[in-house]
Amino acid sequence: MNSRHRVMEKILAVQTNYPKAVVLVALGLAVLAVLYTVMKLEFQTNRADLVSSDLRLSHLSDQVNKFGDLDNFVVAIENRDKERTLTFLQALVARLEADRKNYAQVFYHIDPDYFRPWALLYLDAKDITTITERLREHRNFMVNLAGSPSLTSLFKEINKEMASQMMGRLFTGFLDEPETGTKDKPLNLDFLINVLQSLNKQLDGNAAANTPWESFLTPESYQDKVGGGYFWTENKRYLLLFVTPGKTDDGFAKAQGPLQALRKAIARTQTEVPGVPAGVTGQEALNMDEMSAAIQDMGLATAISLVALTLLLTLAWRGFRRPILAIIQIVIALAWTFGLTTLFIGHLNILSVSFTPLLLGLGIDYCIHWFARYQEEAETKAASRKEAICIVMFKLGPAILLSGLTAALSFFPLALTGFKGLAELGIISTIGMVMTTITTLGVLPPLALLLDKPRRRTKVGGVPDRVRPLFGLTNRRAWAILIPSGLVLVLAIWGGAGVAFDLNMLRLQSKHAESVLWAKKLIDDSKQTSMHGAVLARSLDEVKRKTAALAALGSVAEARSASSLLPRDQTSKVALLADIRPIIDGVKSFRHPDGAVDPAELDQALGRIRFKMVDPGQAGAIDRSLLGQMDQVRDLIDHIRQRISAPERAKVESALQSFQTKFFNQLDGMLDVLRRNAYASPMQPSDLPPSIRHLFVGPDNLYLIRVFPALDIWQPEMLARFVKDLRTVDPDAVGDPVRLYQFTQAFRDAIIHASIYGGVIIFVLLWIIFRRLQDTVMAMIPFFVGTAWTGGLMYLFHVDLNLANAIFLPLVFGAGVEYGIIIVQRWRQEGREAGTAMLPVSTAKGVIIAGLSTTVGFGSLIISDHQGIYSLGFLSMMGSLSVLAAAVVFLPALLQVVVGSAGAGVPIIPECSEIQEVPDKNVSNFKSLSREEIS
Amino acid sequence: MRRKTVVLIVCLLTLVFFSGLVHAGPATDRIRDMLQKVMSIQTDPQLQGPEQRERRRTATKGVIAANFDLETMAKNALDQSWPKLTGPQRLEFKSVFQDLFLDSYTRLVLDFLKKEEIRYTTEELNQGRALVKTTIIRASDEIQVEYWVASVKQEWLVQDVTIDGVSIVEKYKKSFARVIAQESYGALLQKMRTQQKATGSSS
Repeated sequence: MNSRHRVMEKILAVQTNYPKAVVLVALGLAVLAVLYTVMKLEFQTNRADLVSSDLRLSHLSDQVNKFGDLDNFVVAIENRDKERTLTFLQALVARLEADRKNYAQVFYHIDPDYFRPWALLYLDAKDITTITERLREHRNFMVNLAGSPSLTSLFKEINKEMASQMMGRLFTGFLDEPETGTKDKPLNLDFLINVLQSLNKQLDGNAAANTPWESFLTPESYQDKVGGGYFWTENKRYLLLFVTPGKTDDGFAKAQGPLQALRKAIARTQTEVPGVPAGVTGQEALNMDEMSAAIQDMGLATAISLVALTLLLTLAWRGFRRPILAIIQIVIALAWTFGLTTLFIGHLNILSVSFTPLLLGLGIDYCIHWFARYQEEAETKAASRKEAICIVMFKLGPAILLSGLTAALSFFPLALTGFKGLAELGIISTIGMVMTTITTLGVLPPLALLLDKPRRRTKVGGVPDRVRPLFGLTNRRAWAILIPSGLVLVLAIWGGAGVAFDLNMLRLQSKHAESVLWAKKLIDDSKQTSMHGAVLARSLDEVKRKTAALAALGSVAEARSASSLLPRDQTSKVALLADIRPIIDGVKSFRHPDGAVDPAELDQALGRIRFKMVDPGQAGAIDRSLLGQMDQVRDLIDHIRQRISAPERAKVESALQSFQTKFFNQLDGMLDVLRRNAYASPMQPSDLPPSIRHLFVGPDNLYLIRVFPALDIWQPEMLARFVKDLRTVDPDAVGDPVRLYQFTQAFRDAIIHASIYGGVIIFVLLWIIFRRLQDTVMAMIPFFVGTAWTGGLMYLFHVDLNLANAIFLPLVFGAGVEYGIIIVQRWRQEGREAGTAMLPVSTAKGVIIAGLSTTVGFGSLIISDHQGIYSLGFLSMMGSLSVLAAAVVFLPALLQVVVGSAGAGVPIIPECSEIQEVPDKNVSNFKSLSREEIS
Repeated sequence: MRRKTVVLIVCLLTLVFFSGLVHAGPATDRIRDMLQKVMSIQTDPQLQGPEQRERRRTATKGVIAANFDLETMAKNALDQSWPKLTGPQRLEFKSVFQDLFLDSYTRLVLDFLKKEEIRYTTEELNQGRALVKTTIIRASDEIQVEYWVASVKQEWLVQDVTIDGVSIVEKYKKSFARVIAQESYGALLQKMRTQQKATGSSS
């Protein structure tokens, strides 16, 4: 008796002598594991958490994370009507700002006044020159107006300016040709029209009417450039609001609180301001929605898996007892796995969260094989339960142990890939496979001993069930199977070669998640994406150099940095602005306009302006657009004159007075801007508003450049080009696209490497244990052929490998090799005992049920809305069925042809064939079992 | 009684003193005559419509040419650069200037002047020149136009017109000086010639 035999006997002795104790200990440990898991297990939603933290890029990413971030939650408000959109924003912001518990920061507006001292530095040098020229040209206008700041003086001065311009154009306009660089714009009545419109509004009772100084001073409205300080997308289609959630350390469920509260706040605001579509997106929202959908789908998939498995096993075993025992055993294994995962890893990620249904599908196989053989021994050989258990443990135990070991080894290479997300999945799945093997061999026997009630069966056709073959195989029949199967195999290999590895992650996302829908809307309608590369710099000079180099790249839409937020060419612009000083120095303040406005005097001034508006019938060579403006001026003046001649004189005077006050106060504000800009020093990063500065300027003089792509970087080739371009400027570039690129590449490489490692390791292991190359190859046939057929089906159904379903590859190793080991082992056993090579129906039944259970375990994933998880389920179903077909159809035929009965009688796994005594001395009939009986 | 007499004398003296100013003298007559001729062209039923614009233009230009002292205007427009020119240069400049001014002023009249009510407010005499102030009244709108008129070879001719405080000659002065300062007199003349050619071809 060897040592392995003695160990097995002792284990059996404990299991059969103290079955209740064993089961109670197992259940107790399971309860403890569940409690520990509930208390300690966390969920990591960030995709960055999937990549190894040891990598240099991850370290750089940590540095980038020290800067502020705006893409946690992004509320996108569709702009159908500007005023309503802003009203909605204000209402939502008020609501969010009142909820300090959920939100750390609500960022929606930058006060444009903050930039006033440097406002003109943001204009082009040409525009500054134009302003300077205009100011110079209109200096007398300003001085005269400042000398008598009144509404009547304003129109008198405008009239004078117009007369001067009109005569200038008529008599000397030909001198202002383009080559002199002094050509004035054509006579433009915009400013006059704006003033008249504003005055009209005021007289009509609109006290909020604004005055038009911006258009007078700036060639292109500065207000339009800064968008009022709100965050509009470039095409003004969406207004954005950035929300940073409050910190929660209480796990994923509570971290979702702010997102749910935000969506409720939007819904409530929509009842107050209806007709304004709005939704939440942003990286954190995408992560949470994805994880939330995954957890929800996984919970449902697990439940479906359990129910489907129970039904399958109930049908297969014609009763509830054994399925319940199987489920109890697998639940114990799952509980232990969760407990050990919590202990050694502490969290689940978006990948490893999928282990539960996979473990259910794969792990229950051993239980099925165990019961299949147990049923054969207990029901057809009429052995007692203890005898049957002992025989199963000695005859099948080693095969289950080896299958469990190979399955664990098929996952374990994932742990060696350096890809943290997959490594964790590999470790958890390895633990899971070891646990299911332990519970199959350790807990299932005492459970069966305590609760199973085998039914005795009679012989069928004079042949005991255990040797009845699944189907009679002759060489001729075997070739009849092998030839078409081989042809299909060749076609499948040819087709499978055309299956690509799709790295596009957007195609994995849940189609209906709100954050995904709004992210797509922003990309489709506004080319707006929050994904950006991140480049670090140690000085402002380096920032400028890198920003310029990045902005010059064809794949880059915008390089945003502290330097890009500052005005360009500041030194030369400051010099240009200094030219304004002599023009505005000495211009008096407009702040205290003259007293009451005399309507009669105003009427006369307006009349003089109106006189100059040419009648269209008399226009001659006057430009059409100018004629249109003149027409407008005439109408406006007529309306104003009508108003100011109305009988309610006091009311009219009051309106004129308040317009005059507002108009000159705003003019004074503009003069103030001009003065401050004329004497401005170059703007520094420290001058940026703190809310913006912290996004680009970090501690220790570290600067961040955010690089936005001009390409659809969800496309892998575009992503590769963008990242490659980034790295030409800075090899240490990081950020979302780099992370995504690194993630997808590393994931693909990890899966491929893990598959190769797994295959080699299992092959070597089987060869060491089998000690025969032929058996080793035969045991791996279901995997090889099944995988090839799956490749063909993928080609047929236009399914590519992707970042989610590629996990299927290591998984199918476990299932395929397991079937191979069980079938080849039994083939050898039966050949030795019966003298003919065959696959008994009980073993085939076990493999078929195991295959179907794996299919159900994986297949339950197709209920997922997450496209990645769905594709994993779909492909795994195809893979499992292919492997099963290869195991029960192709492999026996191949064994018949290649091995036949010649290899019979040679056990592939050393069995516990030297048993001399039963493990339990009290089991008398077990004592009397001979070597042959046990065999 | 004595007091009433004093008041009467003062009024009479005042009337006598200012009578030179308010009197519609020969300068005003000349302006009135010119404007009436121009307005009669503008309102001539046979010269209405865009197709008749060219005929109106020719007729108006003739009236303007007959009433303006183009030689003095050319000299004043060039201001400080005038003495630096040689005799032939002055002749050449005058010729080009004359064409350009007539074209521009004709356009002004054609585009802005209709049958207007013109009030001749004052005529101020000063060192052989007269300033004729007028107000053009159109419904409730009005515009002030002032004519500097001088007696040249026993004929009152217009030397400058100020519209709403903006002098035509001053406009020329500033623009010509700018081009000469930034470029040269030659460049100015070249631009004027180009414009002359352009207006000639357009007409």
